[in-house]
Amino acid sequence: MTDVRPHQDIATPAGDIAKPIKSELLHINMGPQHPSTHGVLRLFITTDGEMVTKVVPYLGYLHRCAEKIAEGNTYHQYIIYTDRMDYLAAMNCNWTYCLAVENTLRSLGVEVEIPEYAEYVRVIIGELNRIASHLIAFGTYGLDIGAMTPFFHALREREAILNIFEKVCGARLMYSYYDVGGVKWDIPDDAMDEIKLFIDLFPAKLDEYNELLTGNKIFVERTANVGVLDAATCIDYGCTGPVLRGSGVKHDLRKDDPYSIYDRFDFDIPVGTGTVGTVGDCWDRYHVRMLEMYESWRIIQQAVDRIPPRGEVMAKMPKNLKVPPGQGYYRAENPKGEMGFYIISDGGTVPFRCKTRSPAFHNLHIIEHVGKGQMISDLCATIGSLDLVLGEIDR
Amino acid sequence: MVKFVTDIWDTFSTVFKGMGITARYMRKKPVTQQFPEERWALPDRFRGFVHNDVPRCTSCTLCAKACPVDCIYIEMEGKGKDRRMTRFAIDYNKCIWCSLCTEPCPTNCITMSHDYDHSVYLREKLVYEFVGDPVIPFKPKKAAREEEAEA
Ligand code: SF4
Ligand code: SF4
Repeated sequence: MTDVRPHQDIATPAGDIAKPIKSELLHINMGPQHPSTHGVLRLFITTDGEMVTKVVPYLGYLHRCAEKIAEGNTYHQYIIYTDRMDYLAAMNCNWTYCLAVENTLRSLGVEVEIPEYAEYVRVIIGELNRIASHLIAFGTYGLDIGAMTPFFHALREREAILNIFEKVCGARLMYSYYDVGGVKWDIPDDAMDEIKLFIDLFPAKLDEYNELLTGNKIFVERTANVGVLDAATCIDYGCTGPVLRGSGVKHDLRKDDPYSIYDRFDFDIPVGTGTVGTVGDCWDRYHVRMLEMYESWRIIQQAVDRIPPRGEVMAKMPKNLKVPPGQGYYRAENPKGEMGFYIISDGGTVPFRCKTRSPAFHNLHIIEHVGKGQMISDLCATIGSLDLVLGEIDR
Repeated sequence: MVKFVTDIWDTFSTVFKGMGITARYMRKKPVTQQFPEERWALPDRFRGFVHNDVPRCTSCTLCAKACPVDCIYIEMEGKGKDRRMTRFAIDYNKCIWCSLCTEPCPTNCITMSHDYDHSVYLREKLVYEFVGDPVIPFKPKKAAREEEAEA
């Protein structure tokens, strides 16, 4: 396993004891239990001193055969497995899956009319979850770099969001809230009040985060010009979400291919600009997330203003949902990137095949490209900036 | 040299900005709770341990069919009038608190309770048996008729 490099002659002050120093490439495992790999990710890295010469991610430590399980569960039952993919943004995963089933039904000639109220609820809850997910990304990125405080601030706001979710659907992590044809429950009044309170308070908190971490000189030094990804490479590797936008590509499915009712809201797509370094460095990816939280906040604000009076939350769906024979693919913008479900049906109550396109899986693989030639500490910064969730990578 | 000085200045000024925020929060009340002593009020929709109100259960097994992880065990014996439910157990090792079982129940006897802290030392103890002696399944129509007769 060891590659022995040609011996180097190092001149030492005492000339007579000068001996060539034998140096070798060292193979080490980073993870699966490494704190900065965000879950059970194992990176097999080859190092030359402090420099990384090769990174190979090894996956499968969290593999639960979710796609195979789909083939034995009805369309409704599989919703709860989508929770467990991206567990930090379970609402968005639910939503994408439900969209996929609904659109497959539509393309095969079954009418699914989602009530107006349910669409607004979906947007509000989905965007809240996007903020919650980005808060974790922000907090843990600080931890990776060595800043402890922002993590607690981020978790405090995430707690407020989770309390809202608990009132809305009764769970704090695995929501199973979205259903094929709508959502399971309405938003109760006390939760709505909390959402309004959150809207009032959040911008001030966002400023606080920026003061705490974004502008911090040590943080900037650690992340600017580190792990630079150019747009072409990102597109080649299939990166999406903040990773792609951080490299300056304006691509967001909410704008480019509006699903649900996103075309009714006024919001911008932040992209990396290289404010403190190069376009596409770790700082840009991080900063895109911070700006996205603000945009999500804007969407929630508009949606709460315009939400119609409480009404039906579910479309009229048959109890035993059957999808006619055929297939359909649908994608949506998750906090981590573009998530998609490809459903093949043979006409029964269970999908014949349900393939998941998970964003973090594609975002992870760019590490092989960008990790080469970095310092080990920069590799940690790069992994953190990709915001990986292993539940979704391994499924 | 100028860059060196400005870098040092930036580092200190931005770090102290952050410290200022921390100092501001030091004077505020903590947002955390001391869990076992202090508990937060659970919302109405909280999904805790699944509970079955056996006297109202018709033993129709709809809940067991709806469960995505097959953790509800229902056993019956006899036919027609002699039908008895001998077992209704929920394996909380497997249960994922999804509330799918509560949706198809005809009598709404299976519900998500507000309990959430049942730690045990052995996994076997998390299989809760709701039925001891065999029970006669609830018959909604018959009960309604009896009520009518009484009234
Ligand atoms: S669905 Fe309800 S009535 Fe039927 S077996 Fe389950 S708990 Fe009993
Ligand atoms: S809550 Fe879900 S997993 Fe638990 S018993 Fe009910 S259906 Fe099964």
